[in-house]
Amino acid sequence: MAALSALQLPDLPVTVAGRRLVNPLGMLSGTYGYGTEVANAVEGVDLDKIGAVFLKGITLAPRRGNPTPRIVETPAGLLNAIGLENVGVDVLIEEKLPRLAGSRTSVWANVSGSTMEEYGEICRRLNRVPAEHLDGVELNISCPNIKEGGIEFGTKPEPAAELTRIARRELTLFALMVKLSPHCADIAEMALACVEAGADSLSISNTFRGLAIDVQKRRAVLANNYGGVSGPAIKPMALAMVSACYHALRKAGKLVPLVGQGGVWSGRDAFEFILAGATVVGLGTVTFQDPLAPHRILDELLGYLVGPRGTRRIRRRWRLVGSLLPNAREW
Amino acid sequence: MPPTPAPRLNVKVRRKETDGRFGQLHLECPDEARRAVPGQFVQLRAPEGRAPQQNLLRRPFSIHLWIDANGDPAPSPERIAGLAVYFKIIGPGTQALAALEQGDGVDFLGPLGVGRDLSEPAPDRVWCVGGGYGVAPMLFWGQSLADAATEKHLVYGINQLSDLPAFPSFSDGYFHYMAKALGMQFHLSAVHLVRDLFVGTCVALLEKLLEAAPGGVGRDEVVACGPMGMMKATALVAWQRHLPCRVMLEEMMACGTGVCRSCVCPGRGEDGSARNITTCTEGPLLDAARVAWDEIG
Repeated sequence: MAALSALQLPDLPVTVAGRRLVNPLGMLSGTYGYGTEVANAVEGVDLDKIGAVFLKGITLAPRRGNPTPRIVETPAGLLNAIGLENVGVDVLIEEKLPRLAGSRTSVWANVSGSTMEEYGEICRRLNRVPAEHLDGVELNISCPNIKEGGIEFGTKPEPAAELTRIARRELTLFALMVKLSPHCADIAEMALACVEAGADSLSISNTFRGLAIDVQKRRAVLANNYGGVSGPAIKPMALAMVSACYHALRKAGKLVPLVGQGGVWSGRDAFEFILAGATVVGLGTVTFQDPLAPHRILDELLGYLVGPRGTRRIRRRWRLVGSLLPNAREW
Repeated sequence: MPPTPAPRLNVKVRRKETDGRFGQLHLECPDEARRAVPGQFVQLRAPEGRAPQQNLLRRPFSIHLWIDANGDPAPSPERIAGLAVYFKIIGPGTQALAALEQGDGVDFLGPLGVGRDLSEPAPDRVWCVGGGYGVAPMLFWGQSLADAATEKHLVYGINQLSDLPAFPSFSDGYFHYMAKALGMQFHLSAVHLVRDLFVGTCVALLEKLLEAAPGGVGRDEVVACGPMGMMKATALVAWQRHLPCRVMLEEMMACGTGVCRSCVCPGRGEDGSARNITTCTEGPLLDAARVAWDEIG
């Protein structure tokens, strides 16, 4: 099945905010560096066959991030506190983005800041990037691992909407996506606020705040104490949030493409996110185990999309997004 | 270093040794093994089902030896049939690996990282300093210099005798035996008093050996692997004697390919500016001067 479908259907394109992605799989910010590292390090990784790459989150000035240990495995997951180590927006624009220019993958910058002005300034600089270097900007209002800013904007609808408006004003040439935090009272409310403020798309969601303890030392394992949990452990929570946002946006007549993410390990997981309402499915932690995961998962996903009548279901795949049937009377 | 071959899910275990505290696996991977050089590492994971709740990621292990088809250290490149890793059993990942049996498959990615360039000129004398299980890659270092006229020393430091592996086929003389087999002179130190052993750290032992080294220390080289404090002390000893020193860093890792940024170490760029060094792709083998030792406790 996999080999056959790959032959007949090399692509499974989707559209996000007018940008064409060769397939619905995106490599999530913070797990794929600046796009080219994995393909350079491991044989068999083909960037042209990856729908989108969300680059490592950047700030205005370079950051060295947190001390180590920054990472530890937890039950069915991974706890990390990297602390937004990054090269800064100027190096991203001058050195990193041009390296991806020849690739078919859709390139998205991920932006973090500690003040609204900082977000605005980064977006202003990114808006001057040549169009062939960038497709869109993902606003990270949900990084749990830095002391200031970041997550504060992601916990309440008003600051999230204000931040979205600022970014929208600066970004006249590129698509705008907002990466929501799971740590808010009602994620559907956050989603509506951001879309009303001008977001073209939403990314749902981010890691969950967590703590790992070394009982021998009676200390937190991570140097930062707390970190963010990712991996299969968070998949059910992530699915529920994607579903909640999808239905709230649809009900309000404000549906935008959603990037669903959280513990996707297989084509079946990706298909679950599509059924729950995601147009694009993000891969993160899985690539640490399997650098070839985007290719394997695409193959497996095609297996779910190609029905007994061949390609027909593929053409109707848009009907699949959010097509999950409710068991109770309504969502 | 060239790109790493794609990960393989079913690299066969040819031999396993364990004493319950340490483990050693011989892996059948001739193609990957021929590309491997000392200092590089592999990432391994026991198949799912053994510890599914807490065995998500592969764990990084320095390469211990090239092995031949009989499971002995490969005497020449043509005879390389696989790789050996040596590890301390610490958590669920290493427990699952130590539970593997001969013929089982293992999820394998490697070789990764930067190691010794085999074409670089061999030194007159090399001091391979291993603290604890940091001794693992030192046998590989010695093995890669088998053809050279280099005088090879293995300086191995432990805390107490129970830190020595007691593999059934070797008793507690595993490293002693292997060092001899690879033509390395063996020196052992223990922090706690053990009869007939040098009492102190391996760095103190290295200092004593360097003082007594016949003919002085002209074109000697030091390479160290172990806890950060031990590598820092080794780097200082080498620096005081104007000896080139390289270290092999160890950090918690996730991806092994340079993207997750979890294995960084404070260091210096080529221009001397402070920056993070990515252990998995810029290291693990690094010139000791590249590490910002003053930022490490």
